[in-house]
Order: sequence, then structure tokens, then C-alpha cells
Amino acid sequence: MNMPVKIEYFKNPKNRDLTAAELDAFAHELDQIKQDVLNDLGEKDAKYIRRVYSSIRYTSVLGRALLFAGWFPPAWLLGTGLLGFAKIMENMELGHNVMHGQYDWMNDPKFNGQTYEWDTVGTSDNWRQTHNYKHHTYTNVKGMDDDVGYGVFRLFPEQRWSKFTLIQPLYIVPFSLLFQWGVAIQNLELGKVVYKRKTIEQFKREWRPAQKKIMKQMFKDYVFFPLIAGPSAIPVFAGNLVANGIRNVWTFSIIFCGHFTKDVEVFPKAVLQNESRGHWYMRQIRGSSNLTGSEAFHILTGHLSHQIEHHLFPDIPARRYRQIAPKVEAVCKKYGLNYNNASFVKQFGEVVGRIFKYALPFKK
Amino acid sequence: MQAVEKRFSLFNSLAQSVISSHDTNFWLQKINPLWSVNQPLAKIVKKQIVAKDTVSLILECNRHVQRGVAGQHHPVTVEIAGRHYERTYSLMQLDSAHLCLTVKKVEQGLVSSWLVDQANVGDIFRLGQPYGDMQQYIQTPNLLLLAAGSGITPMLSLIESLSQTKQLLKTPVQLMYWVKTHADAAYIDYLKEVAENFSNFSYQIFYTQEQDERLNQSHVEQLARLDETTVYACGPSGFATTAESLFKHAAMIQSEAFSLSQFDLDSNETGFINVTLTQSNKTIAIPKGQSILSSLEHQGIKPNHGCRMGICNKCACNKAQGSTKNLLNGSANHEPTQLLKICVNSAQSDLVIDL
Repeated sequence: MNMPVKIEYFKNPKNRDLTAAELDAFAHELDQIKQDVLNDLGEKDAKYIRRVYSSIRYTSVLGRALLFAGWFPPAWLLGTGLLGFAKIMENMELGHNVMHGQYDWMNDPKFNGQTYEWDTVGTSDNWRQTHNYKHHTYTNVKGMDDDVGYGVFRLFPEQRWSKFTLIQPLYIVPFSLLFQWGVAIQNLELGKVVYKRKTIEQFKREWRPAQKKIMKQMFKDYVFFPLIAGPSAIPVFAGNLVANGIRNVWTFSIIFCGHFTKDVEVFPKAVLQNESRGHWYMRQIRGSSNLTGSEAFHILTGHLSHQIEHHLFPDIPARRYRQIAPKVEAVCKKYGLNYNNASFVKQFGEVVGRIFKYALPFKK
Repeated sequence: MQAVEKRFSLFNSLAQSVISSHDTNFWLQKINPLWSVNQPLAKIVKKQIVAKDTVSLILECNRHVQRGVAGQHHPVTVEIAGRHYERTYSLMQLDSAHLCLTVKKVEQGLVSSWLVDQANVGDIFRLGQPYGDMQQYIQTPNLLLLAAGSGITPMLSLIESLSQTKQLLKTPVQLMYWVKTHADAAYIDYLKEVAENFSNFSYQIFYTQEQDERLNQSHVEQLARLDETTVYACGPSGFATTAESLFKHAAMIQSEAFSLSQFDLDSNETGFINVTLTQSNKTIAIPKGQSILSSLEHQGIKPNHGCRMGICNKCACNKAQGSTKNLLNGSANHEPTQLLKICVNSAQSDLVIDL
């Protein structure tokens, strides 16, 4: 007898149940925090993002120049480091945030959320679908938000266990090194093609723009720059490879800390039925976790260290998350919600804990 | 030929994959702020006061700036406190590399006040494609120009162009120019000079706050041979409408109005608004006060969208013109060329959006 198994969803006891009226009041307070920021947007924010943009241009040119002298080990190390830094900043503090429309109010074509194209193998268009829309609207809703385990990891007891899951502590390593590729093919949903839930024709149609972007990125980092470096082709090639790798591991680590720490919850699709704005806000908080750290650390994470604030208000300039964090924490406390915030070491330890624990068929 | 183009586009796409045009512009502009691979840019090289609250800015242009013909208007984008704002001005061609932008400060006018009070030599503007119907190609024996306030600016560029091309030797041109007081009249010396050089050119200035009359029937009666005259009129909307009706018997009348009252919105939340969709070339009436996205869907149009709650930004598209109101926080937006989330905004005036 194959009875459908009813999945049990676990609620974190650190979060109180809120009534509909409480949720409305809660939403109202959060809306007010956002409105205060919107009223204050202006020159400071514009200056900041332009400075980020400039520093990325300078460090990437300097990094690439140093790699041309790459046979000299200190130059190679510094060049690779600078290029890695530039790619991290471009992907996280600039690209990711600009594509959320955080700087659309500036009306500057350079920071236009609809046309921005970032320095990674995934296309911006795919990202706007899988991340901006699916992940941010249906955060941690199993079956709706593909970021819950990315279709290959079992991180929550609510997810199905298989023998394949047993080796997830092993394949997490190449996954983190190649993280940008995972992001690039996420929207193609290869699993659906394998299980014949998507036609080959549709797949080919979706593949074409992805292929074009991949070719461009490969050409730049692994053909053009090594070629013009002449005798330094090998250190340039290696430097680019390592810089991309550094960026991949860093983004992977920060992103996994944002939604897969110990206290984070996942939700059934049923919560989406007539979901109120207050409930949506609450789900963002219960499904996200923050990292503590210095200003430099927050900037290097593209302010994803303020994952909670980012999920509440994905469209306000990320540098503001730091400023509003105490207000958001106070509102959480007032309504009895857990403001999940801890050091990178602690949060990452919890993510690793989940990867190991749920590799085994634990049911809770 | 096709092969050449193909190779060129392959080269372009490879070049773009190594360095995007934004990046190229970033580095070029470190050397010279006017340099760009694709943007039409202009720099203020001289600023002079030409009348009360009115300045002329002499602009040096880069090679991407399209000049247009005299009497046309340019969208001009300036940056004020981190935001880009677009307004339309009529620019006068001085020589092959220079344009002149004359602007009068409008009360509560953010951009015009900034241009008059704050803009400095060295500031950079982005210019758009010129447009407009008032052109110097005149088919009738006579030309009459009617200007009120800053409506003088397209007339100046017409006059300048007619004098540069020597067409003023053949065509009699008469200008009637209404301003409030003597202090408000711009380019008096210039008009005097043109009148001295060309006997075909004459002008009259009316000072409405110093007992001169506004445009009326008596001005029409002064004129002979209206049926052989092309009339151009430019001024506030009331002025343009009056000109249209007074000169309806002219051989041709072309008027352009600028609105000073864009903020006096109809606060009524009911009724219908026309939305023009530029990419699909359609105009659709949708109800006021409701989400633009749902209203369009109601009419069978399916714009790209995601969350429907204003967070994912997938539905954002360019609003070319019109006023909108954010349904979440009630904030209004009147700026042309602005990204608009159609899922959480309603139309408050007729809209033009790039969909």
C-alpha cells in the first residue's frame, strides 16, 4: 500500500504564534521602517553605489595588470586576490542589489535593475526569475522556492531522503567551488527534463541565452586575457580560475548561512493561501538568518549578512540594512519572533551540521 | 555586406564580453568627461544671465549629440542630488560643436531652478533625440512667430537658423513676444541686432504687467495677408490655445504648449486613464486608482511580472510620461523616464509606458 506520506512541518518554538490583528500591526510597523528609509534616499546612497562601482573597476584592472606579472608569485597572489575581491563586490554589493531595483530611483542607466548584466556565468534574466521572483516571494516554501536545497541537498527534515543524500557532505565541496554554475543552470530545471516534465524544445529555447552568457564569460576569463598576456598566459588563466573560485566559495558560504542555519524554518505551500502582508513579513524573518561582523564584512557580503532585513525590504539600498537592523530587531522582540543573528563561524557551523545530519534519514 | 556586418557584430559582442560600454565610458570619462562610446553628452562651457531668472548655458557637445533642426526640442537629463531628471528644452544651434540652452526658472520647478541657480561651468548633461514639428522650412511668403515667456526659446533658434541660412533675406518674419515686465524679456539685444541686419525681420514686445494687452483679436487685425502666413506659437497652454483659435484662418498654424501646472492633479480617484504602450503600439483605457498590471491583464494584455506585491521588481518597466501613485505608500511620481513597478502603482494621469 502506497499511502501518500503526510509531511510534518516543524515550527521553531522560539517564534510566537501571531493573530491576524497582530500580524497587521506588525506589518504596519515594518512598513513604517521602510518608509523612513524611502523618505531619506538621496545623494548619500547615490555616492555610495558610485564609489562601489569605481572601486570594482580599479581593483579589477589592478588585479588583471598584476596577473600579467604572474610568474612572480607575490604579484600573482595579490592580483588573484584583487580580482577575486572585485568579482565578489561586483556580484554581491553591486549586481545583486542593483538587480533588485535598489537603485532604480536614481534613474541612472548604469544602475538600472532591468538591464544590469553581472560578471558571472548565469544570465541576469534567469536570476531575476529564480531569485528576485521565486526565492524572494516564496521564501522557504517547499516546492516553490528552489533555493531550499537547490534540488540536490537535503537540509530540512521536511525534505525527502534518498540514498543519494548520504553523500551530500562530499558533493557539497565541488558544489561550493562551482557555485556560479549551479546558479546559472538553476532556472533550466534539468531535473524536469530528465523526468520528462519539460520538452527538449523548451529546454533548448531556454538554453540559448544561457549558452551565450557562458561563452562570453569563458571567452573573457579563459581566452582573451590569457592570450593578450602572451608569456604570462598560464598565470593569468590560473589567476582567473582561482579568483572565480574564491568568489564562488564566498558567495556559497554567505548564501547558505542566510537560510540554512539551525533555527530557520521551511513552510508548506498551504501558507500561501490568502497570505497577509504581515504573514509574508513573518515568514521572511522565520526563514532567514543574519551574520554579525564589522562594516567591511557586511559590505563584502553585499549586506546579505543582513539577510533578514534584505528579505523584508529587498528593494531598498542594501547599505541601509545596517542602519535599520536595530529597529527590525526591536520589532521582532516586541512580537515574540526570533531575530536569528550570530557570528559567521557559528552560523556556518550550523549549516555544516544540517548538511551532515540530514544526509541521514533523520525525521526531525 | 551581410558577412561584414556579421563579423562586425561578432567582434562587438566579443568586445562587449571583455568590457561593457558602461565600463569603457567610465575609463574614457576619467580622461575627458565628454567622451563616451554611445552617450550623447554636453558640457556647460559658459553661463550667462539673459533676463530676470533666465540664463543661457552654452553647451559643448560630443559627437553622439543629434542636432535636430531649429525649433525642435531636446530631452535634457541632469543629475541633482544623486537622481537623474529629464526635461525638454529647445536648444539653439551656435556652431557645429556648440548649442545654447536658455531656461527660465519656474516656480517649484526643480530642474529649471537648479539650472538657473546651481548649474556650473563644467557640469555634464545627457541629451536625447530631438523632436518637434516647428521647423524652419516655410512654404508661405510670410512667417509670424508668437511667443510667451520662455516660449521664446524655440523662436530664437528659428530666427538664428533663418539668419544663418540667409532665408531672412527672402522671407519676412514678424515676432510678437509677451512677457510680464521689462526685466523678464530675454535676448532684446539679439533681436535688435537681427532687425538691424535684416530689414525683413521685425519684432514687438508686450509687457503684460506694464499695461500691454495679452494676445487678442486686435493683434490679429494688425496683420495683413493672414492667408499667406505661417504662424508658430509657443507658450503656456492657455496662450497656445488662444493662438490656435485666433489664427485659425492663417495658411498654417502650429502651436506648442508647455504646462506649468503638472502638479495640479485631479485628485479624483475614479474614472479612466489612457495608457499608451509603446512597444505593442496600443492605447488602452484603464481605471484610475487600481494596479496598472491587473488593469492591463483585465484587458487581455500580459505584461511580464512576478510577485504582484512590489518586492521582486520583475514587472518594472520604463514610464516615458505621466503621473502614477504607489498603492502601498501613496507616494506620487510625476517624473518622465522612470522605472515603474506596474503591479503596485496606479495611473493618475494619461501614461506612456514602454511595454
